[in-house]
Amino acid sequence: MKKNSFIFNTNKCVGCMACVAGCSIENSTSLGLNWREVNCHNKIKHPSLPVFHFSLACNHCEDAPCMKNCPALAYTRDKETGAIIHHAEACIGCKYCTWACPYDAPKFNPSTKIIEKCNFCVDRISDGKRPACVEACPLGALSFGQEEVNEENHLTPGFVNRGIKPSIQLIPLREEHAKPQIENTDAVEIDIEKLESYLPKLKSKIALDKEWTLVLFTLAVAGLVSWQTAFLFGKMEMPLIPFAIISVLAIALTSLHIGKKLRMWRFILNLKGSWLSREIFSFSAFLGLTGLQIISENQMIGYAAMVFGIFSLISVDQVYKFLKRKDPLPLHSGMVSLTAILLFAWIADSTLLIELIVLTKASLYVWRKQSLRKQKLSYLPWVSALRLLALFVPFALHYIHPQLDLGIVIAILFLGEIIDRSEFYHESDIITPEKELRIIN
Amino acid sequence: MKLISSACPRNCYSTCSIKVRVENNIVTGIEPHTENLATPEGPCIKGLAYVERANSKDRILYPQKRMADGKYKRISWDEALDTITDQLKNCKDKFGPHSVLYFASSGMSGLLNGVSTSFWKMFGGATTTYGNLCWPAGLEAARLTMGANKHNAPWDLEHAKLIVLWGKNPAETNIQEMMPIEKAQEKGAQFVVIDPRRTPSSERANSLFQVKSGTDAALALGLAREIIKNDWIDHDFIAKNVLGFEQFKERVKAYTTEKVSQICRVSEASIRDLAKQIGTIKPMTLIPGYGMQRYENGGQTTRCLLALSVITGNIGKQGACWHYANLQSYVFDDLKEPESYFPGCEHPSFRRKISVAKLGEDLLNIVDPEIKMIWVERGNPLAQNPDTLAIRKAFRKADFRVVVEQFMTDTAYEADIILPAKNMFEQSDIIGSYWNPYVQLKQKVLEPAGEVKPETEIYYLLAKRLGMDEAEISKQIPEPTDQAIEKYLEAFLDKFPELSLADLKKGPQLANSFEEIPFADHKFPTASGKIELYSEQANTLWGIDPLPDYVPLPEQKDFPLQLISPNSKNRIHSQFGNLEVIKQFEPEAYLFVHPLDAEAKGIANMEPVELYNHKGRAEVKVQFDLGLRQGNVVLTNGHWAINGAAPNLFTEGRETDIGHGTAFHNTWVDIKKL
Repeated sequence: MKKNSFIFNTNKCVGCMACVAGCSIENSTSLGLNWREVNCHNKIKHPSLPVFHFSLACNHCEDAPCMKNCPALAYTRDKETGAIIHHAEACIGCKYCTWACPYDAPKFNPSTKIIEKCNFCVDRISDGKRPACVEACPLGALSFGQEEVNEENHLTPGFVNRGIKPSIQLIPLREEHAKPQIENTDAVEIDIEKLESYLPKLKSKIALDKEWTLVLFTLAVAGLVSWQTAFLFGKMEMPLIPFAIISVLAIALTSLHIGKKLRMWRFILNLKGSWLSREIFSFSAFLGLTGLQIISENQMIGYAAMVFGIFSLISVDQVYKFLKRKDPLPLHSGMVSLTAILLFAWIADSTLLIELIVLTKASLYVWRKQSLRKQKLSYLPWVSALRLLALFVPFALHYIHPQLDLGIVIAILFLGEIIDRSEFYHESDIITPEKELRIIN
Repeated sequence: MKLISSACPRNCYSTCSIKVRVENNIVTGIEPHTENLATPEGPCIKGLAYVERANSKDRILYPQKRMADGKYKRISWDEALDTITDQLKNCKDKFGPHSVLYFASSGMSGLLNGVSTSFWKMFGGATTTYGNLCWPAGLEAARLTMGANKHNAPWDLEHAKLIVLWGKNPAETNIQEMMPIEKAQEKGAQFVVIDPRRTPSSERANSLFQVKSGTDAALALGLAREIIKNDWIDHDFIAKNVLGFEQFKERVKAYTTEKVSQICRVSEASIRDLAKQIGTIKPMTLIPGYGMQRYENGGQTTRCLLALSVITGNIGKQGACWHYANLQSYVFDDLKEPESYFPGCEHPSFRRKISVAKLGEDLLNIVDPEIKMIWVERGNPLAQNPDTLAIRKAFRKADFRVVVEQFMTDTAYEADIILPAKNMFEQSDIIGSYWNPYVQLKQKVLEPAGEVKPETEIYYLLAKRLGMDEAEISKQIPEPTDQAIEKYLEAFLDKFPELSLADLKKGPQLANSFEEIPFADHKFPTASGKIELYSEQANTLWGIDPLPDYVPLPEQKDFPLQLISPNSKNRIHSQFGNLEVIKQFEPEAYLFVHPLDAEAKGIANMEPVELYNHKGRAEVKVQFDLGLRQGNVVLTNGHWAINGAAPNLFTEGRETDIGHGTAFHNTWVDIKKL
């Protein structure tokens, strides 16, 4: 089926940035917040690799992950043109779409506190004109038209291909340009490892200093759910006041993370598609029902609360499913579901469960660190030791000193979980066109 | 909304035709103008940046006067013009008109610039400059050899089977040229680049010859020797059209591949291979850049390169030409470049001239009379002429300075009075191009902003104030109305019935004299009527060898790194770099250095260093570039010294061997850790 598409010819683009300027002028975007970007492969010009560019904005994907994952239903597809349109008035500024999109198309504007992005110049193309970026390209390297786009158009090395049917045809570099032929009798070989040391470090899109509120929030979810479950099975008291205080703090932590706090209610509009909506909805339901359970002392409400609680744990882990981790493992020891099981096991004082979960978490943790070490990535051995101690010390104490105050044990366990969860964010990143293009071997 | 045809008047190959979108008397967009076959897809990023440039809050909109504390204060036009009039009268009466320096450069092209010259003639003359910062060594080399500077239409390039791009980087400096290159490649053409740097243009090439900077002539002579030795020359073309081939053949004998490989630092096998390509693939278009002739040996180097096109018969054919400068659209000039750059070619009142390459030194040394007042328009000599510190000293030595400017440039900061300059949208003018063949109208699309007055009006008012002869004023200087300006322009068009202002208002036009493939008739306007590989005039005019030759650059001991200052896609000389839309891509000047050169001094990527030589010093951030030869460092042209590092802080005032050009690249520097 033919659809409106960008057509980008790698052989014609010289990285002049006119498309970026053309877009920013037409759409009056803020300086430095460009909807279209031109990324360069091998900018440092290693002699054995070609230098080339990709000019990319929103690709108006058929399976648009921004739209699918937006909790607030701020994205729609324009039926006539196929453009994915972001609606400023509906956006809550949670930035979740900036994680979901592998093309780095949605941009968070710190001054408006919401997202903005390329709209395919929907007004222009509806009028039969070309998008501003295409109009601005002085070489015809970027063009636009009704095209048959298929998987083959996206197999170019360096292009992010996630099978989400982006509306772009990518014409790859001709074979003859794939390996530069440079005559220079004074040239000195530079190996790729050395080259890596020359390159400026790329910023990770998920950084611990920005995401610490999420570390605490997700652990609070695990803590509260395990506590409620233990309470339901009569393993521990749950007084209303401490529960209410922790709940309010957890909600405050999430709100810190979004741009438009007064629109927070929109968080739960996309239960159909967004794990983030599901997370917030099920956690809110869990909090409300748990409160009711405490006040009414009704067990049935307690069971309902537990179901929502467990669903919120699954949702939290699902929210992070498209992050790119440095290790290749499907499970991470810092997943909140595992944290909740760990805490529950201890509160419920179930030796079998404690042994199982400690073993699972420890092996997952060591497995992951081994994998980082093999890739010659920093794996922070001292932090790792501390993290493992926070798992094994309570385990040992469980046998040596079974009468030890649960509060101390939980505090030590929590310390370990904070480390593990923090490392999860530290080791995670979002794939972007810039990173995909940085260097190809 | 209006969409008005216009053209970009910057000193740039492309000279794009554009359509200017105007809404409520504000420029809101720049769109492509498809009628220009050389620039059909529209302008580069700088062309788009006009939207900001025209509306910038930093633009100078009112006359300014420098106060005692060094700050500038808005004054009235009356005060500004009265002060200037008093100064002019005083200079003329006490020291004679030649105590005034009239300095104009290439900031805005157009026929109306002739009004400035007329004013200064009427004033009784002034000291002016000769020579040019850009391209005269190459122009003169081609003029000596072929008699004129013209080449095939830009779109003819797609017919070439071999394209040799020598020291030019069109991807950044003439972006639309990449289109016919790509078309030729799609049709199977070979594309070779010769350049000390790996550039965005060389990425498109089949091979890059990364020669040692300044040794291009040796490579050309070595290639010529191989081509002659293997009998790949065009005997018929040479016999009919070339003077001095036998002497040239003798000359190149010394340039064996072994020797050339040693000099240029490329392998012998690759030289032989390139010679075979040039000798056997036809048609070939050879595209030399302007950078390569900005060395002391630039003229001779260009003559050596041109010889390759000549001996292989790649002149005056479809897909074959010497693609250096195409002055075909300069139909209104009585005297074309480069001859118009030579001292003594103009009106007698301008006979007192100083070298543009040695501006600082000459200004400081000139006597009888010394320079008392300096007038600058369309130029930024403090950034763009060599040896910034000497120029600043010379400017400060004068008593009074007037600068006509749109922005607070390095030069504007030296002014006692700044007059707000028009931009390209505020007055119509006719422009040519040195690449595409069109005559174009840069059209007025809106009234001048603030209190801006075009130079023609400034001169008109000054002429009145100075009490110049009314009849002469009305003959030489158009009145400040749109009708008078159009009448002035129409007078030029009288001789060209095919060109009318009404047609020019619609889009680019071709003059009847336009030849798609010049020299196809094998008529060469040289003394002999032939292509002169052996040029008597080269010797009599410039004192160089009548034959092309490789003249090595001087050996360096004090400063080990050769600084080259090529143009960037982000600026035209010192224009555009101050705009936010440009600064987001190049926020500051960077010195590009090979990592191994930097590591030898313990310098890391992106680290600030001191860049210095005997002329100046500056602090600048290093950026690693594996696309450089070791020993070369690059600081792109056009940075302003007020912002830190600028190349001319380090250049010496030195002319090229011929043509009174400027040897910017004869510059050596060193860096050290801060």
